[in-house]
Amino acid sequence: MNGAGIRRAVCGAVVAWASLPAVVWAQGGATKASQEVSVTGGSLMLGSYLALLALLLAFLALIAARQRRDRAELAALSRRMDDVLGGEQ
Amino acid sequence: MWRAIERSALPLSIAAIIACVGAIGMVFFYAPVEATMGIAQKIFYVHVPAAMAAYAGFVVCSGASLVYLLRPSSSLDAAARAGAEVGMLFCLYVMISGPLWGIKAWGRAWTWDPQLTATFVLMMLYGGYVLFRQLTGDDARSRRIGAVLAVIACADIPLIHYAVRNWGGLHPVVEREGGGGLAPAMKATFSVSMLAFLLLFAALFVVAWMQRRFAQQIDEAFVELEDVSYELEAAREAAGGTV
Repeated sequence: MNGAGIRRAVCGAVVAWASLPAVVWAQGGATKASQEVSVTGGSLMLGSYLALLALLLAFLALIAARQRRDRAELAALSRRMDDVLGGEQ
Repeated sequence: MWRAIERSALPLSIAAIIACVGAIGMVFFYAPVEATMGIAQKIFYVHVPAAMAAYAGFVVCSGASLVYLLRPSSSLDAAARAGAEVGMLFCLYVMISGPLWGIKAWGRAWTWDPQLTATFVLMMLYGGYVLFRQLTGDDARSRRIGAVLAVIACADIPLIHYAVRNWGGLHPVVEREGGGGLAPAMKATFSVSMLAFLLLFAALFVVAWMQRRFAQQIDEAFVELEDVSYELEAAREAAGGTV
């Protein structure tokens, strides 16, 4: 998957996450779930901290993917400079 | 000023890592377990600082956008985009950790409480800005339109802050103010966690801004190189014509 594909995937994930509270929890699905199943506080706390770690790692991966793309563009710029300016020598 | 910001990336990153490790240690080994909500209350130590970091990112985005409208500059545009992206990262986390805490605190993950609704709207506004800038390219017109959107979106931030006071709702006030009902150990842990998140925001913002700025400079170099190539070609043709 190239940089543009990664960016589109990330944008899609952002939209999906943004839609989740409105679609599911506004309909009271989580309320019914919490009444039927008892979720331990430890699970919620662990899930919360793991979600933080996952988001941070995903962001860093996105930055790394962008930097790889920038390095490729820099190499292309260098080659183009050789074509344009190297012909004058 | 921008050189100083670039040089601060490594020290900020190291400081953020140290502060985060310290905050995690205090959360799990120093702060007591809250009597009513139990261990789930420890989400508070990351949920509230994440909200502050999100506000910081969005304020940076809107501030840089406002200055960009007055004095257009690629650096300001890059700062606005970086601020919005890092702000969205923390805002997404607020929208994840909040419902997880709400399941324990309120018995339901989501409610259309004024503050929660305003935060959801904030995420939509700045999420829309990030998507708009991502999908419309980097020309001057897109930058100006994006800057206007970012300035308008900033109006939602004070709405969130005053939503509870003016319109009531489930979301508590004392935790947001960071000290009213907290034990001393909890208050200290919260303060360290807040510092850790602000340092983390600063480090991520500087890295994201540097990457955006670098990409802009490569694009500008390509444009200048093509201009030079065109001028050289024209000079060659003119020289060839006079021979």
